[in-house]
Amino acid sequence: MPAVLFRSPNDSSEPWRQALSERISGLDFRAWPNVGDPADIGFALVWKVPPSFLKEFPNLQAICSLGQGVDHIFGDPELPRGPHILRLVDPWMGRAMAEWFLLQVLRFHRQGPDYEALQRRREWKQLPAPETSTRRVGFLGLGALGAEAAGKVAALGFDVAGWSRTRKSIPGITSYAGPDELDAFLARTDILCGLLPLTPETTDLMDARLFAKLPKGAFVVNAGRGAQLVETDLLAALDSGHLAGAALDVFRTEPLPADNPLWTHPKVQVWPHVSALTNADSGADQVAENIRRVFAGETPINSVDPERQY
Amino acid sequence: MGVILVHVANADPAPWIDELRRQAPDLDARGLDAIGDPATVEVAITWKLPHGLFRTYPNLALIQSMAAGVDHVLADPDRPARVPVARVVDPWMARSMVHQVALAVLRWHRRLEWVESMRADARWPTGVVFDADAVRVGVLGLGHLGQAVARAMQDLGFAAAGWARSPKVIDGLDCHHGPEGLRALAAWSSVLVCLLPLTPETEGILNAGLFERMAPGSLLVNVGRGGHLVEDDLIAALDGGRLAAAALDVFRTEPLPAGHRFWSDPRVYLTPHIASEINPVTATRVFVENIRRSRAGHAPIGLIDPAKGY
Repeated sequence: MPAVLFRSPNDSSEPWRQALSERISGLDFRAWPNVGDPADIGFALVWKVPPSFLKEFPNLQAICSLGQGVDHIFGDPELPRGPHILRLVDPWMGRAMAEWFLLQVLRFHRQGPDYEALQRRREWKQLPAPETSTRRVGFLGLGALGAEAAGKVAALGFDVAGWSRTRKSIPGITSYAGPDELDAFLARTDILCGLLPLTPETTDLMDARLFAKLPKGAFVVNAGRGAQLVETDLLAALDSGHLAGAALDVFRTEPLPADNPLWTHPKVQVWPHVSALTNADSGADQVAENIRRVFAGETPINSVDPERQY
Repeated sequence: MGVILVHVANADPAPWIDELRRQAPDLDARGLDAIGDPATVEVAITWKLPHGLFRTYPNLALIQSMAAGVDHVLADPDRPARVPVARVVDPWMARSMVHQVALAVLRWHRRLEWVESMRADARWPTGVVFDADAVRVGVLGLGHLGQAVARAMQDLGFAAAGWARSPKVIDGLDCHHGPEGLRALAAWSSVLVCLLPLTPETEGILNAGLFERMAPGSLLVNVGRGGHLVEDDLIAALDGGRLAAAALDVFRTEPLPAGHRFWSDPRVYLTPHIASEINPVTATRVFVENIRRSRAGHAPIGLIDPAKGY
């Protein structure tokens, strides 16, 4: 059996070695930099490896991302053409992501930032509360993660819609599709929730023009990818009063540099990319199944179309 | 057909009177200063009517609380015992309560205060784990609101159980009762949510004896009444690390005095009694229905047992 290679700057290899060894007997698991003969490697389990790293393995059959996103793989200009590109669709990750969006939606809906400021001023004041069914939440992206989060937000009584490349049929969620319907989607969205894959089409999507199409007083929440949001445009829209607040978990540069103005802006909450963390225990079933399928010559699950890149 | 008295302590009753007239133009709704002959008062819809007034209305047929609790009515020593007392049972209030509790639980679970604290020195942590399986929500009080909250926590993927004074059987929910059950629930829970009615038995129920059974780092959510909480015991439990945080919406004195130590305690997430803000439109529907029932000789929706206090 070919060997499995592991490399990530964020995740330690031991939990994965253990979880996968329990599921595949005789697994030859090699954690970078102890790679051995590159020709032994048939399956790579990776997160943000340096460009040109993956082309060094001549017998690679599949490259599996340690997260939902695969943009870090497609960002390699010398990415080998042959191997399957796989993503991790982890049920635990969906629950964690839904939790994070629920927290942001509820905090903005229930005027959390205003009540936090009132507490600092020792002021007892009940603010008029908008009715839940009139608060319109919009998800940019209705993939597996977006659909789960949108469903849980809708279950709490909010008016929820989603925008995606192709039309989706999800009970309780109004579907907007394609570039032609983006403006209508934005015009009806009070709390915008970004959960798109990073592709050439979604890069810089959240810019001044997009923010201007949201109603005045809207909120922006993003857990997709940092490169989808133009940070200076967001700050300008917050400072002009057009947008009321933002909660961000992803940034163009991570860790967010200490001198980035997002850190200190009073209307922005900065999260250190923790909305949905990968977990070896819950992700290992799926990775083990794909290792088995790939080495048996079967079609793997959750593979990514290299043309669409998601 | 008598006068419908509408009284809201520290607030103008006019919007409520207008809504009553809009929904039921035949009703003679008036504020406290416009009732004329006290013998004409047939129904009192009130939040904190000054003590002693109920007994001056000889033909009073129904006391309708403008809240889910009736402690403010039962606290009047001169309340005529023959007059039925109803609390508000309104799905809109339940939704608002669910949102309040969900926000408090998610803030604590996803460590919002910790994320905020990192802004001061632009710190970007790694190796963070949020364990959703460790969120176990114990709900004290299994009435309309308590059941709605317990179900919502389960829908969010958290474990939930409940406690009531007397035995209850609720499908899919582990229900404890009695003093022994209270201790067992506290030992199981990492979050305690108080949704009890305030009665002589529940006064001061949130105390050191309860907190010391909880796991270190737990959360207290009090959305019942201020009288449920022993404030000194809460501070001691926070100082000792038994509790990591408390989300408090109700207080022994409201408005909370500006000099109170809770205002500036970073472990206390404080809101000014907004958890289940009453919705004038949906609550008035219930009021109109209860006036009709009273006139037809039927029991009102939300009729309480004064001996039990809820």
